[in-house]
Amino acid sequence: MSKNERPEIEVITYRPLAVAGKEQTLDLLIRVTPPKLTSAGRRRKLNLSLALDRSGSMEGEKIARAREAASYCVDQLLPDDRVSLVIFDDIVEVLIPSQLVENKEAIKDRISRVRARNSTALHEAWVRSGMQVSEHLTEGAVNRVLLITDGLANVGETNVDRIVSQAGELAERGVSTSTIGIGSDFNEDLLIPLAEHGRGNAWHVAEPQDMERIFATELEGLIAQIGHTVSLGLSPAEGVKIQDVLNDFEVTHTGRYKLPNLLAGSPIDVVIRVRVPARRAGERYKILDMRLAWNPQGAPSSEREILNESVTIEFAEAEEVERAPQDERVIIAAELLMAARARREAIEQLDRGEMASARATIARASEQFAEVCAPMMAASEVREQVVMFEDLEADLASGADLKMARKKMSYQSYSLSRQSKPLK
Amino acid sequence: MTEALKKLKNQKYVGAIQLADEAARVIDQYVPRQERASVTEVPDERMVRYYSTEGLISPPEARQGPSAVYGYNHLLQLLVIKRLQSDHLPIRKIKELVEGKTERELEQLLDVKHARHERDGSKNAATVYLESLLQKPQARPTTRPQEVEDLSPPAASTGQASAWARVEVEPGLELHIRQDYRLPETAKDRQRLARRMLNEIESHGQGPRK
Repeated sequence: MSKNERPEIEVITYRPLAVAGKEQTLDLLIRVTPPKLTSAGRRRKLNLSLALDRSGSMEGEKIARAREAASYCVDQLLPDDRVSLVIFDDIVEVLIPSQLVENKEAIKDRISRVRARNSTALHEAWVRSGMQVSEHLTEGAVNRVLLITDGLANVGETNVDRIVSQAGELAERGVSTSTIGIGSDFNEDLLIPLAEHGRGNAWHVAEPQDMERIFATELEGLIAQIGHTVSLGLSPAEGVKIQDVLNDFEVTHTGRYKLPNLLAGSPIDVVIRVRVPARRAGERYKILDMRLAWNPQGAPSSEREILNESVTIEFAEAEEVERAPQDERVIIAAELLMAARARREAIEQLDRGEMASARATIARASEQFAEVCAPMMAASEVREQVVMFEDLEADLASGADLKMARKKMSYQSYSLSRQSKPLK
Repeated sequence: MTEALKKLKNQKYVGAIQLADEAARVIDQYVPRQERASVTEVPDERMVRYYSTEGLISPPEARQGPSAVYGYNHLLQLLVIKRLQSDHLPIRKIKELVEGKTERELEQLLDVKHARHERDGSKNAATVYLESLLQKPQARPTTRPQEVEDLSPPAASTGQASAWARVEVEPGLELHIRQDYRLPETAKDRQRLARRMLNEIESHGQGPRK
């Protein structure tokens, strides 16, 4: 990424002015917008390994759709990309060793012959798949393992904490991991943290026919990735207090927030709530310094790019503030993040067996969201959210498939907090 | 180039079988064994004929009765083909690489030191790490404490000396900390680490105090 291809930081407040003469709480929408890909037609090389679960439970439509999606994936690759396929049940097999995508038909032919059987050696499959990528680790390429499973790790290493921390270790060494969980029997508490620590994406395929769309989204993300290991530091000015970072990002030991990868043209929305001291009308007051840091895709890991920006607020009398234009994007972003939090709370309640509380949490959040966002129904993400809440309420009310409801909530809160496009 | 191959410089091979046999004899020195081979590794007569018709091996030097006579150049070509195949290059690509190459260039393509270096010496950190995960025993034997294995420096450490500090946390419990060890960054990861340590202690049969 050259100097003029740096992301931009835009800070949006509900109103451009703050009310003078009183202490107040403001929501700031910090929008990090990575540049669009400039060199059209030429994209970064991909070095991919698919680790595909072929255990017994994949039998039928799941394995059929997974085969189709893998073939679709191969079709999208270019001759100088690399791909490999590791299939696993209790035995892990490198079906297609890492190779340049020069003979698509031959690769797809091998994929088409994968059949389901036996139990799930998820960890070893991930390791072997990682080796297919690492042995051809390509500087500047996106080096990634894509783990596709519908089950629980039940052969070999099965400790969730260990597998997750290993994914973080591997990402440090240049190979990232994305996960695709299929159906309702896998462990989302493994697959989501695995992708988070692995610096990839976590996807949930509730219905097998969604597989191809999710592969497409993952591939688009791979091609568009222009930066990783992104962090945002926030230093409030004296007298200013950060009350909340609504995204609930993990924090580094230096107190900076860990942001998702930078994808060309896809903004990351961060919402923070700050307490600002009283100021006189007409005063301009710097409330915050921000420091965005990231590793440009393809640069050595030591080369970190840094962007410093500050946020200044102008104060005015109340009447003038009220006449100023309003920016609803702040409200929408904040409410979506609150909706994500409600899901996490409901999951905790479900895990404690408090079914009624979980139901009530979602009902309350749904109601609040609909109420606050009622004037903003023109925004598609608002309408989508209303529908998602209705579906969740129905799922929890029937209690028929709690496993599936929990998965939906986990993945929705994951993607809402990262402001990546939530899956319908 | 190694001495072994140089000795073969003036050898002549009468027929495809002799050439294939010679290549099979020396191939291990020049072509890394594949963990899971997707192509046959050991050259045979049939291969020599096939590569000849495909133009990957140049025409024989002479004929001796019904048999073709091959030389050092052909041996090199055959070894280079197998070497490139082990890197999963398709035949079409290999042909481009081998066609019109001089003896010297073929030797370079086969350069053993270079090949071994690529394969082992300069394994990147990701590969070394993943290999270490595969080597770990999956089921933990209670008779053989895990620490013994974890204490030895990683096989492919970059040559830096690893100094270990030994700390008695409380009577009966010691920690060994390598000099370059750093705690995880986030609170969440530190909790994860604490849980893992407790699990380790428990997996050695150390239950809570009565």
